[in-house]
Amino acid sequence: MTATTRAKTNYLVTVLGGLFSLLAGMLITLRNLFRRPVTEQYPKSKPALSKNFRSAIALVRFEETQTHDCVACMQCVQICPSFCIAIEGDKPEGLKRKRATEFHVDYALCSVCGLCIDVCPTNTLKYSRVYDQVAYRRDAFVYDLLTEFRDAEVAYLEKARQEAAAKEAAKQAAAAARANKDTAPAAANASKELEND
Amino acid sequence: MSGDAKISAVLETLLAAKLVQQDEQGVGYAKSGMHHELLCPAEAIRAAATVYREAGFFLEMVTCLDLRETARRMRLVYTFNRLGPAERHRLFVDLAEVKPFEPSPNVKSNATPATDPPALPQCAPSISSVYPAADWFEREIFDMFGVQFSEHPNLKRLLLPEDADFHALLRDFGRVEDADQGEGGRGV
Amino acid sequence: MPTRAKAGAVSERQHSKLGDAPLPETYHLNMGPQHPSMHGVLRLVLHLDGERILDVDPVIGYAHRAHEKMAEHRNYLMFLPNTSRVDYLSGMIYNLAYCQAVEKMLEIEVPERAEYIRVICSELNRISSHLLWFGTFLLDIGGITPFLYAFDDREQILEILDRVTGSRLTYCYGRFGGLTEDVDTTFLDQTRAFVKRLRERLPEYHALVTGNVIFRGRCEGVGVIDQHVALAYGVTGPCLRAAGIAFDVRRAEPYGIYDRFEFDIPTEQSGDALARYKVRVAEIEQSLRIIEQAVAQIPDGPIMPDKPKKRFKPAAGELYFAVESARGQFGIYIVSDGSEIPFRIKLRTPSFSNLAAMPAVLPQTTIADTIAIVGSIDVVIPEIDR
Ligand code: SF4
Ligand code: SF4
Repeated sequence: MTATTRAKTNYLVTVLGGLFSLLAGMLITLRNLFRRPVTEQYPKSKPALSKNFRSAIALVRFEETQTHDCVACMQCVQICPSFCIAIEGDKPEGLKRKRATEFHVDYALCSVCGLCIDVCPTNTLKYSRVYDQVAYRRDAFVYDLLTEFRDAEVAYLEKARQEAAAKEAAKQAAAAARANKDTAPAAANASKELEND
Repeated sequence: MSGDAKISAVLETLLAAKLVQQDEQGVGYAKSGMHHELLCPAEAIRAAATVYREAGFFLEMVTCLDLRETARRMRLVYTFNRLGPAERHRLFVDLAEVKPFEPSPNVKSNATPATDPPALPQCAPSISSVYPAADWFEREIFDMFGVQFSEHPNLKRLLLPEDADFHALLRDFGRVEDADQGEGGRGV
Repeated sequence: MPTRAKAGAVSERQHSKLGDAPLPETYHLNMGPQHPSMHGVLRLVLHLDGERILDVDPVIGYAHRAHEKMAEHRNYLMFLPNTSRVDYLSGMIYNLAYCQAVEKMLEIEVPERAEYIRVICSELNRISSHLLWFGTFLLDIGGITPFLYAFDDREQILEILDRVTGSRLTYCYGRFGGLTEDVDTTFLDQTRAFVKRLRERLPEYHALVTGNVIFRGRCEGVGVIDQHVALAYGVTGPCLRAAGIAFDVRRAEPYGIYDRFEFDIPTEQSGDALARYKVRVAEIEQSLRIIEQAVAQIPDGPIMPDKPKKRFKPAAGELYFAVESARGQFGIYIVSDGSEIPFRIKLRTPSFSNLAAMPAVLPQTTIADTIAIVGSIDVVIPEIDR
């Protein structure tokens, strides 16, 4: 008899305990019902991108030149683990340094690791802030990073060429001066200054 | 320290039974992360594994190295560890010597090498009867390196497709990047 | 009448033991690879007798991306982004583990501050992984509400980590010798606030789930991985600790600066799904403790060595480096032949061994239990397939 009673009590305890556990859960759900929703209604309200947000790479536009400073050294191409950077470059007429003439990044392959940004000797790479790229074709993710620089680049090259020409002329003048007056220290100093420019 | 005593007991048993020998080229824990670097002949691996199993070690990893280019062998690497303060035993099991290795001239291609990889399949005894954990590790090695394990209960491919006719981690297999990804895909 | 006859047949079949003469009316069922309750592309070929499982053959490889092969054609640095893709739920831990392994090979000193940041980020990542598991596991066995709460909390972690690493899941935050970005005081404040917030939330989780009678009914005594099975299959992580073995790589073989922190290794004795649940929730608390200590102790200083190594050739040799990931012991075995490119990198992933134990656990359970069991061991398929 006692055994059946105990069994019955146990059964009751289990049922009531179970019921209580369910109620406890529901109470929490109820309490949360009155909290502020945390859902962001994405297309309507856009969350701010974080400060270090990583996306496809882009070229930095430098203040003083108004253009990028990719010298086509190919270091980023070599380090890229996804092999998604393609750069071509050559020496523009009248300049000593190479400049990039083609710069394509395949964002579909990029793993946003940042290794290219680490190795770039001129610090001309950065992450862009695009995040909602959609396309039907993979080719759409191949970005030509130089498009926005085409005009600025022409102007920059023109200026650089003039500067280089001026420099060259000054150098030649200095050399000529040195040839004429080998002992004159003033001319030598002047040419040095110019060279250091 | 009781821990150390226990380890040396395992090692002593193994050394006394001549199942393993110390690897002279071992560089020590600080450099390799292995507390004991041992060599084990292929015939003895199952007996050695039994000793570890009885001493309460678990099988941490089994893998394979394709050393055909340099040492003309395939080498299995077993590591056993304790479920306590780390005590890692690394066993090298060298498989039979193979013919000199000739890298396929066409390493760029993802297709099966023009000639069969030299002297495959290689064979080693399976320890999956001692450590069921070895079952999948051995299947993976068979899959990736083509090494056969005798007395393995279920030696079939694990990661690669069942109908694959290649062993992807062999040195002469080619590069992942060169793989043709089929229609619409591009090898990078 | 036919109903009764059938019922009789079923009960008779249920009494026959596995290993008897071939049973009538047994059949195979493919569960997965695209089953909503299988995490990722796992396929279980179940050999069934009615609802009862006689045998199971897990089929993997659907997410094989050849990470180990890729390592053989890239230099050490270029393999970095691969690491966080192996287990995308604890990518930070994997990424930093690889950095630490290579640092050990090259004997690079890591600045103190970077070490502390690594610990904070790894533990945050561990919590986010456990929270995701908590949510999806309960979703699997029918509880939708906890999933939403867990994801809300997890979102806080992702935001904290996103702010400093720039990614939400597949972090590439580590570099050999340090990290890419330093953290600021806002990060530390956010982390402190998060610790406080989650501490307040955990009792809610317990009230909502741990005591719940339905949840207990689904998990108690289900899918027992005992010590014997765990040892035989090399099961590690929470699954092992739920069987009563207090094995944690952070204690057994301390790496980084984990020997400086106080934390317990939660264990349970029963080894069932409920025990694994309890261990993971307790681990969240321990991770919070570690984070709290690390945030309090973090020193100022650089986060990269003065001269980071860009091109290097490690001496020929081998290295095994183990860390505790959210799922168990993650080991990296690197073999160098003295060149710039690794000769071989083998990734010993915990889920691989944990899932391999399934053929020893699943037989004699039911299909409904399979969901609870596979969910409770917390497998990440891409980590198994690599
Ligand atoms: S971020 Fe990484 S993957 Fe992307 S372009 Fe740079 S190096 Fe390549
Ligand atoms: S590393 Fe910098 S400068 Fe060199 S090619 Fe790349 S972007 Fe241009």
